Amino acid sequence: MKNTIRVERAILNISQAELADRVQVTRQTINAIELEKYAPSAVLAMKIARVFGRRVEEVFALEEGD
Amino acid sequence: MKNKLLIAHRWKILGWLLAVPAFIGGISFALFNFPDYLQVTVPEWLAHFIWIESFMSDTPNPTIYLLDEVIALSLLIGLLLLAFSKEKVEDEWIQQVRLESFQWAFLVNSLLLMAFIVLAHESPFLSVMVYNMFTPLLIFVARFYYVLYLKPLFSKN
Repeated sequence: MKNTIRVERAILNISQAELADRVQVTRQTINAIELEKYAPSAVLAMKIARVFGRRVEEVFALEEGD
Repeated sequence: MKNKLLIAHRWKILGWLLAVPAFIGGISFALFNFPDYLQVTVPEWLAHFIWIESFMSDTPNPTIYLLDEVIALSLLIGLLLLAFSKEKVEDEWIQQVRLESFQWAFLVNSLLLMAFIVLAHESPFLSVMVYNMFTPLLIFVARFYYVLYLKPLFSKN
């Protein structure tokens, strides 16, 4: 699953650690999601999108093979 | 996702305090033929309930050495505390790493065991079985903490 978290973080000017804090996970989890090594649960994806003021589909998108 | 088998994060310290010295002690014990310490004489009533080499079981008060038992139990308890204590923030990715690490440990341990079934025979195979008592937990702990804390240091962010 692709995502635009890095771009959205840059727009809001927040670090991985700050985003992690806001959605109550570890920084490593945000890092793994950004590197597309881990697909978050629906709950976490919604929490992340809410921080950016976006809809989930604007931040996360399915890839071929998903 | 709640995992009912996990215990509080604070147990991790005790886990390290037990596992690290016991690991070093165990390796020293195995490699350098440490003399066995902590000699105890088993009371007669208890001798009926514990499993000792047959040539000793005829004596009413057999003598045993407890150092290896202390090392083995400390290592197992320490590794279990490390494996089953929560991280500070136990989130969904960490749960996934935990699950993958258990699968990894099970697989690598089985592959190692298969290799040594072919490669080691008789008394050396007995040594393999001794190490094998600890390898599943050792592999789990090594892989889990590597992915959580060491791998991020090497990967470009």
